[in-house]
This record gives sequence, C-alpha cells and structure tokens, in this order.
Amino acid sequence: MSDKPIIFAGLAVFLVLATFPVWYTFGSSLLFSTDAGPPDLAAPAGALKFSLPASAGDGDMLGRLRQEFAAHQLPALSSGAVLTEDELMGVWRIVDGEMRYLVRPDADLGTLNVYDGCVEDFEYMRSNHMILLIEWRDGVIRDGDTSQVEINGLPYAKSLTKTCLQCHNDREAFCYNCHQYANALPAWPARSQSTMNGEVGVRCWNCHIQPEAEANDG
Amino acid sequence: MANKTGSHVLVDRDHLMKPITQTSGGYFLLVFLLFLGVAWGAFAWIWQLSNGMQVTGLNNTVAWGVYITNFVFFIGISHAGTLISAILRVSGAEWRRPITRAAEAITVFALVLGGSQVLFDIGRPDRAMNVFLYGPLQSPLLWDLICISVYLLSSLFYLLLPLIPDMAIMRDHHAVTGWRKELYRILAFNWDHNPEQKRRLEKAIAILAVAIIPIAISVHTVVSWIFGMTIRPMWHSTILGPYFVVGAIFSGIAAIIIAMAILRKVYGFEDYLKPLHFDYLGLLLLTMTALWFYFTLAEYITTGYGGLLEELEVFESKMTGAYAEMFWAMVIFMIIAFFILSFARSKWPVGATVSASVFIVIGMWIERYTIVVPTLNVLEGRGYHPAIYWPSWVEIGITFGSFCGFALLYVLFAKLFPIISIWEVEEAEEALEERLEHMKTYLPTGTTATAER
Amino acid sequence: MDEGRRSALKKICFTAAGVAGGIPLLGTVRAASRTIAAQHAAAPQTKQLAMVVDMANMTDEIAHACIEICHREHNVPKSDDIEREIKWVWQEEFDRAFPDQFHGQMAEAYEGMPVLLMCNHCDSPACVKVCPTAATWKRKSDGLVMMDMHRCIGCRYCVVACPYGTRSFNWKDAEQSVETTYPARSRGVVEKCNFCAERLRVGEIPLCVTVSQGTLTFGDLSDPDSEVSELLRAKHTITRKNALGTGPNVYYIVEDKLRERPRHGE
Repeated sequence: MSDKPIIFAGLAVFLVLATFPVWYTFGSSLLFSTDAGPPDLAAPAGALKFSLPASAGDGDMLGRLRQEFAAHQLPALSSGAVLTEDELMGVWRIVDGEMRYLVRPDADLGTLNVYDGCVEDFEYMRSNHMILLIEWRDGVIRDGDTSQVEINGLPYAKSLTKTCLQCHNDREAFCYNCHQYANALPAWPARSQSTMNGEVGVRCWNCHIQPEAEANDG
Repeated sequence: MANKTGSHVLVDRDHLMKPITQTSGGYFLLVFLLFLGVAWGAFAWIWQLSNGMQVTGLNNTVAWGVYITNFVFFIGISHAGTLISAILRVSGAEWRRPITRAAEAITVFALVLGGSQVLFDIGRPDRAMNVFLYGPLQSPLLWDLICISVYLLSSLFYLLLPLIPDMAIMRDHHAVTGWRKELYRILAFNWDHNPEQKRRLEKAIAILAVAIIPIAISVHTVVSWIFGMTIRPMWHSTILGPYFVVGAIFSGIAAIIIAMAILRKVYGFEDYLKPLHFDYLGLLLLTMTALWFYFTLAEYITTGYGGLLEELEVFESKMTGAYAEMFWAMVIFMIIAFFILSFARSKWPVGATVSASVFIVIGMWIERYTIVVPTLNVLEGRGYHPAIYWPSWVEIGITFGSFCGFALLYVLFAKLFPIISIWEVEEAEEALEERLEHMKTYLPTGTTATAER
Repeated sequence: MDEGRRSALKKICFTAAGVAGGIPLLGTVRAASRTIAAQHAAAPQTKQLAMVVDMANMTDEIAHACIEICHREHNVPKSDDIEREIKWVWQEEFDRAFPDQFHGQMAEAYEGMPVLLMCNHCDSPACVKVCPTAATWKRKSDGLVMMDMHRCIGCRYCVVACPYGTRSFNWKDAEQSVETTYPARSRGVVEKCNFCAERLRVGEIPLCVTVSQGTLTFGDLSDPDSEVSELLRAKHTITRKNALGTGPNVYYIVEDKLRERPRHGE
C-alpha cells in the first residue's frame, strides 16, 4: 500500500511520545547528573575511632564536639588552642558500617570520627530507613503517637528533622550520595526542576528546614 | 436479493472500506492539523506542569474550572455509544445498525479524554498513584474511578466484540495487505463465519448490551455525586444524578449526530446514513431536549421558590448575576435547538438535526460550566473574597488540545477500522424477515385470541 | 442443569446488587444517626480539641497578632494576590462569617464586624469525606483534622467541599523562611490551620492562643472540667453554619457584644 511509510512514521512518532518518560529519564541522567558513580563509602586512612555520648534533645553538634575534645584532652585542645567552627566543620562518612564524623583534614587534628549509635543497626537502616521514617511519620502525624525512641539509652522524639538530621546533617553525604546512585528520586516535575537548577534531584529542602541553615542560625 | 417486503439490502463492501483502503491528501492535512492542536495542548500541559497551577485562571474561591467542566462534558458525550448500541439494541430498533460502530468509538475516546481531564486538573499528577494506594471508599472520586474504569473496560469490549466479524471481512479482503492484514487476522480471532461463532457472539453482545446500561447510568450518576455529595449550595441536590444522566444521553446523541453528518459527507456514506436516521435520532434528541427542560425547570424552580439563603446566592448569580450571560445563552441555545427539531426536522432531517446538535453540544458544555463554577464563586459565609474566574491560555490550550485529541483518535480509528459495521448492516436482511415474522405474532390474524393460545 | 446455573447466577447477581446498594445505604443511615446523636450529646466520648473565640473582647490588634504569629511560624507565604493568598487564620466580616446568624436588624452593630476565622476541626468534616487519598483525616487521638502534605495530590476537592472556606491551595512553590523551622509546602497541595499540631505534640498550646490576651481558649471538649467546657457551659456561643451538621469545634462567644465594642462605623 502506498501510505505504508506514512503510517509507520506516525507509529514511530507515537512510540517516541508514548515512551517519552523513559527517554526523558535517560536523557536527564546524562545531562544533569552531577554524580554518576556509586557513593564513596571508603574510609580515609588513619581514621581515629572516637565515640561521642549522646545528650538527649541537644542538637548542638559543635558544642558536643568541643566538650568531647576537652574531655578526651585531644591535641588541639590540650595544647591550649581553641578550635574554631571552621576547623570543626567536617563531613559524615560511612566507615566500616558506622557513621563517622570526619573533621576536615586541614584542621590539623589527624583524622577523627565520631559515632553516636542509631535507633537501629547500620544494616537495617541502610535498607529500611525509608520504612522506618514512614512508620514514624504516620504514627506521629496520623495517630498522634507521642512515644519516643532510644539511642544509646537516651530518649529522642520520632522526628526526621529533630532527631535524625541532628547527626546526619550533611545531605550530600547522607541523602544525595545514595539516592542519586539508587535513582530513588522524586517523580517529574519535581525532579526536573531541581536537576535543572543544578541540585541533585531531591526537593526535600525546598520545604523542610536545612540542618546547616539551622546550625548557622542557632 | 429480494426479501418478502420486496426491498433490497445491498451493502457495497468496497465503498465501506474506502476510508481504509484509500487515503486522500485532505486526510493527511486533517491529521496534521489535529496533531498540531494536540501538540498545542501538550505544550500547554507541559507549561502547567513546569510552572504549577498558577498558570491557570483558578484561585482559592473558584478552585475548579474548565478541566472539571470538560471532565463532566466528555463523560457525558461518552453516553452516545450506550444509547445507540445498548438501549436501541435492547429495544430492538433496527435502524441503529449503521450507527453502532461510530457511536461506540465516541464512547471509548470520550472516556479516555474525560479521564485525562482529572490529571490536568490536579496539582500533583506525579502522585496520582496515591488514589490507588490509599484511596478511601468514602470519597466520591473513588466511586468515579471504579465506575469509569468499569465503563471504559466494558465499552472497549463492546467496541471490540462486534468488530470481530468485520475484522474477518477485512482480513479476507483483497485490497488489504501487509501489517494491516496481520492486525485484522489477530483481531478476527479465527472468525470463519460459522453459525455457532455467530450465535455465541450475538449472545455475548446481548449480555454486554444489557449490562452496559446500568453501568453507564452509574457512571454519570457518580459523576454528578462528586458535586451532589458535598453540602455546597445547588450542588447538594437530589436531582443532580438523574439530571446528569439525562444531560449525558442528550449530549451523547448530539455528538453522534454531528459525527454521522461528518462521516456521511466526507466518505460519501449517504446510502448508509440516511435522512431517516437523522430524523429518528432527531426525534430522540427532541424528547431529550424536552426532558432536559423539565429537569432544569424542576431544579431551578424548587431552588428559587424554596429560597434557602445560600442557594439563592448561587441562583441569583446564574439568573441575573455574574453567570447570567452563560446561563441564558445555554437556555437560548436549547430553545433554538428545540424549535429547530420541532419544526424543521421533518423538512430537512439532516440539516436541522445537525444544526440543533451543534447548539446542544455547545449548550451542554455551558450547562456543565454553569453547574461547576457558580456554586464556587459565592461568598455565602465561606469568607472568601469574591473572585473572577476566567480560564487562562493554558486551560484553553489544554481544552482545545483535548478536543483535537478526541477528533484525532476518532479519525485514526476510522482509518484502521470500518466505521460502519459491515456485518451488522448486511445482517439486517435476515433480521428484517425475523421482524416480519415477529410482527405477525402480535398482529390480528383472523383467529380468536383463545384459539391462538 | 442450565436452568440451575442460570438461577444460581441470578441469585449471585441479586446478592451482589443487594450488597452493593445495601452497604452504602446502611452506612449512610448509620452516619446520619451518629451525626444527629453527636449534635445533641453534651460532650464527645473521645478527646476533641476545641477553641472558643471571645468576640466580645477580641480587638483588631489581637486578631492581627494571632494571624501574624500563625502565618510567620507556619511559613505561610505572603501574597499580594488576594484570590490566591494562603490563610490559616484570617478575619472576615460577621455577616459573611455567619450568614445564617445575621439579619437586617443586626446591621448597625454587626455588619462588617471582623471575626477571627480558622479551620473548625469539625466532628464530621466535609473535606475528610471527599478526600480521595485520605491525605486529610480526622485524628482519633485528639479530634484534629490533619493534612499530609506528602500524600495530597492537589485535586482541590476539599477546597470546594469545605463550606467554611478554610482551605487554601498552593498555586506556586513556597519558600522556606529562615525565621521558623516549620516546613513550607510544595506547590500543588492544599493546606489549612492544624491547631498547631506540632506544638501540641510537645505539650504547648496553639500559637494564636499565646498572643490572644485571653480572648482565645483552647482545650478538650470531652473533659467536663476543661476550660473550654466550662466556658461553653457558662456563655452563649454560636458556631458557623451549624445547620450543615458538620459539627464545628470553633465556638464564638457573642454576648456583651454591644456593650463591649464600639459600634461599627464609629
């Protein structure tokens, strides 16, 4: 038949349109992705194991670090120097299945890590944190659940921002790194908006308060 | 071949297949133009998705607008197929035969476009799955989801089942080759015209025809209940269910008349879609116009006479206020349609019914609009600011795109499948004789009634 | 055999139709009797938080302070577009807030008199009934009408169904304010007053109450000794559109109005 090519062309156009979401995801991952590889979970050499007792309800990581430095008489403090905020700013990394706070290398402290413990063990949290968070949220918001969880024997509120993010306060390290790798990102259009803005594809912080901003303000 | 009445049923298969076997330049131009319309609608939707609902004309007072109007309108149009194929079939109206396919196609495509309107309307379409994941059965939107899904599925079956013998005819036709022959072969489901197949098909269609009537009524009833179940003035009304069902069948008939007129003109189907069909459908349309006026009167006169304060505010906005132009335009359109159908139908069956249908389709869209919007745009103690709602270019674009999409689907369907059911028209010959025999059973035959028993 | 099957099929069909028609009918009847019972009950059986607004002593300054602190702390975006502004608490004129309580003879004293309005956290909320995702629901533990901003699909059915106009849609993206830790809302979802559920959780009272200088009273209706219960027993109070049967839980004290307040227009 003479109109065969045209019909096929039409079908091709339809197929392209119908499978648009697939192409879009593929294309945007090529164009906008800032981190294509698996998250970097390797431990820096010479990491110092350092445990920090939790203080209930206290979100001031900086203050807690200062206290710990004093208590353990770490070099920087034993020599009489006071750590500046800049020196204490570091990043969280997962090292040997633990969350560790790594002080910046140029802080001249050697490498330091802090592990506080969590509501569940690392393996559970890595695979099920989203379920736990949804259960918390539904319990608190839907059923008015006011019970608390324990970390290192101390009670904490069931709250992402008030509890989790106090320690997991580096979204690059804790959220984006893995979410980007696992492609666990919000659906269009939320995703495209943020990826095009040069962020990594989660819009949580458009609404929720950012831990960094809170730390800086407070 | 002559039957006992001396008339002939002569179906020119080649003529009925002409839309499929031959494609003119005009067809491509039409498809292209419709595609442009859809593309504009798609662009408007992408624009809305990217920029949020702020690009619409909606606001917190009038939170629903043309998308919901379109939704109700398209679902209404979808009742064309039910009426023609199911109601007329069950009631044994033989003249329905050449119209069934065209009507059922309207049903399916209108349902698809109607359902899409909800996606255009919601603020977070990316979360639409939440309705399936968490939907509580107490929400009227869930009833809609269930009823419309069932209706779409049964309408799809009702479109595909009577297509089987035609698919066999197409499969065996000499002009059909290549991938289309393969498509028809698959859709014909090994149909080889044997009586047992036909008996079973007839039975399946008969069951479906009966089943689809309550489904269709349920669909437009629950569509009306989206509004009726709320406690908002002039939405919370017991008449809304039947009013919407009547309006749906009403606009459905008008839509099928317009579709028939276009098919007739474009494909030269004058021999199949005769003035008589228009005359009969016009008569049905006239009945529905009267029924529509009756329901409208009943609704408005009870509201106005009863005079509940909240309802009066909506009532007044329609009678003399911000929506008076639209309301009275609707009434005048319906009156014009009524007079055309009453007085011009017998003289110019085609022209009169088609022009009346155009008035009715437009009038019914306005009717849906004047039900959805005015109730929202009243103060009646909601404490909102009075708002002027006027659709933005985005809403108009998506609406235009939707109508083009509807037409495009229809046009493409007519390119692939015979838009007039070949086997059903051919079969009319046998049915004619059966009818005659049947008629004799209830006509006086000279013997006494007791002897007959 | 064929007859048997047919009659069995018929029975199944009729049973299905009976169930399909009967259950909603029974549910509606049950809901109706419960609504009527609740209307006449002295106190709710389960915890129901409620607010009493003392219009007699409420001034514009207090009302503005309530609105200001609520909207600031809850990240409610300021908007110049009056048709699309988001409001949790707002002022409306008496005749618009209580159209069924207003008559012409009241005009001089009450017409145009501002009233503080908010979500009524109804006993039988119209918004909860219609929500297709249960993104808004009546919380059993304290009777609040809550919102889940992560589940809402933005269909705006609750906006059109609420007879009190308490619900606002986010037409555009809100920005997180640095003044508060309360999360903002993304565009495309509906929001409203939540009686400060986030504060109630940690044992604090709603923000508006804290700045109301005693004109707002908040408490549990099911507790006969609570402040709101005692106030409701002592004073003549009205609710918005009582006849609709939604059972609003924001009560307004109107008595002493003429004595306490300068008349409108003076």
